[in-house]
Amino acid sequence: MPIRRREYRRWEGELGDRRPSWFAILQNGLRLGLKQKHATLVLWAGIPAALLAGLIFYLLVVVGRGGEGAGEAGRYLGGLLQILALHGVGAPSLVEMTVPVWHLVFFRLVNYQLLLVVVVHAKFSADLIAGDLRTRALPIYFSKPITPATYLLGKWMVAFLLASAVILVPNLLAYTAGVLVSDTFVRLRETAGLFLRLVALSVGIAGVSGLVVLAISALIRDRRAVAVAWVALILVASLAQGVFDENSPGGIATGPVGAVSLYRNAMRFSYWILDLDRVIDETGQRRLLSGMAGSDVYGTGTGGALVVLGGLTALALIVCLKRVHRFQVAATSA
Amino acid sequence: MNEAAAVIQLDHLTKRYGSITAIDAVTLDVEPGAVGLLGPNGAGKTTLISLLLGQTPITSGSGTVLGLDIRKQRRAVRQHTGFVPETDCFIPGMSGVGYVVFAGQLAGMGAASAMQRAHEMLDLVELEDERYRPVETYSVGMKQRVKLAQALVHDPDLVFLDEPTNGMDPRGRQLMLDLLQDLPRAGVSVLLSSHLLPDVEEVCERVIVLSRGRVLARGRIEDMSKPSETRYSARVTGDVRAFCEALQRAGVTVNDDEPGRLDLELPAANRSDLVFRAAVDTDVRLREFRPHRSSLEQAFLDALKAQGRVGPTPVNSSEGVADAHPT
Repeated sequence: MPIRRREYRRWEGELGDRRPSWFAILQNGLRLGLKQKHATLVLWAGIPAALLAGLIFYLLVVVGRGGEGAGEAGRYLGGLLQILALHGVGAPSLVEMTVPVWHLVFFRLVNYQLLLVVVVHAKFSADLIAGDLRTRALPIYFSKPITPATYLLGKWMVAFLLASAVILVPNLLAYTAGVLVSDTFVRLRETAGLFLRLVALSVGIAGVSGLVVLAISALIRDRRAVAVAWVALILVASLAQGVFDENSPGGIATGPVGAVSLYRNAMRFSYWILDLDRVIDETGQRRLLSGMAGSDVYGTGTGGALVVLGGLTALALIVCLKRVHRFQVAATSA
Repeated sequence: MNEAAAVIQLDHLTKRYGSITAIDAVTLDVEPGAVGLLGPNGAGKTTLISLLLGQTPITSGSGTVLGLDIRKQRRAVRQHTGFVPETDCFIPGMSGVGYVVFAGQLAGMGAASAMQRAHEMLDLVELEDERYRPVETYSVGMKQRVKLAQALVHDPDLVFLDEPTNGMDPRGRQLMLDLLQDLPRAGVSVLLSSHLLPDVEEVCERVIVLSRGRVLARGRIEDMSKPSETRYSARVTGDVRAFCEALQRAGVTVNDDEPGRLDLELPAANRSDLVFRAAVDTDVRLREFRPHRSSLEQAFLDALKAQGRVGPTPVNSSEGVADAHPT
């Protein structure tokens, strides 16, 4: 016999929290994501590259000032830029082109960050909807006052914020470091446009990639299968393109495979958002800089890239909404 | 009944999936309290709950839950109702308390209120010692109870339960039934969909029998299982065979399948005198003679029989609890 008889008691409070209900889904998704093994390691993986960029910006300032340490700083700068595959930018003549170098450094950073976004989504976002499908958690969501759109928004925000941790946050960190180590606030004025472009680029990549991985997650219940499908979607065409490029240099970089390669299209999108063509032209050093920026590959087919990415975003949105709406209908008997 | 008091009002509510009619022009008023929703597989019980929660679009007709339109005020309906689904439905990696807090927040509770209330609810369902364990490691009975906790965390006025005692052990089942009996006393109405007729009899005052999307019968369990006017059971000592023959001559149908007990069907109401006369004529002692009380199961079967549907699958004892097939 129980020691005491528990009785149901009514609650005196009022429903209608100030925060929207998708916020609870976001909070919960982040909490569960951060509980995963090696979560911190993956999410901090973008920071070293950001610090590297910050160091490059500092060395540019030191070299620009001239004086005693400038020569040594120039050597370090050349080495660091080589890590980002920007060979030759460390030449003293290019110190005058600080702003274009910033653009190039961020372009290379994004190149690396795209890989991190792929990893983050494969690790954290793949299970966002697939997990709910697998464990039949949807009746819990849809017996509460939330709509499919709210559910999707909460889940998308989780994917978006996790991706932002490896693209938006490092970019903002690198930019802030670059401005802080510069001598004057002139740099802030010179790079205000770059800042806005960086934010737009980071938000765009984190947002679109989050939506695409959610669409896959809404189609497949198995977490690993979602992760494999996501990685394949992003990288397979790009790897195939790499093989073609090897065998036919300069041939089909913008051909059919290159056109559907999401990774390459994301890079073309980055090239376009960062306005590299204009920046390079303004330096009068197109021959040197366009090679570093990969203008022949990424500076062409921008329209196609926008169509592919826009189409993919629209398709992902439709898939998500249709699937989640269907889940809501089936939620009671899931 | 007083319409204002109805927690659910349906007016020709219909749901079709292509050529299949899952809910067929159901018109219904459900009073506050505990109501059982009975029906064989495919009767439309789950679809009806889905329609009431506003999860499935209505084909035609209308309805209200707690006075809220189930077409236009779906969010408000869900804010004031709770739902215990039949399936496991947990979120991997979440503890019991995290799960209930999350459900409260989804319903619109603030984080602090949801946390406080979640602990209360976990105490209520006797999961206080297991609240920090991941839900996926819970036993079947514990999962059923944590689902009840999440359904009650935001203090709904009406709770829908779909087979809440499925797979539970006897103690867990009794605990669940005790909790459900407690809810109407606190002013929370209950709509219990179950195959387990004893569960429904224990918790509910009224039942709705659904088959092929139609309401076959509804009313108070007490009324549905009222004493029969023509069926009696008797126990006699003496020449039982002669007594049975005398009864049959008088037009009484006698069933003596059960040793020592006779099941009698009188030719008309209020003709128990035939039995007493036969007893006198054959000199037997009537040790027991009482009207046969129809069970809920019998009422359920009768309702289905009247529709021409035979072969329902109600479970009439708790022995079959774990094996009951859900709708």
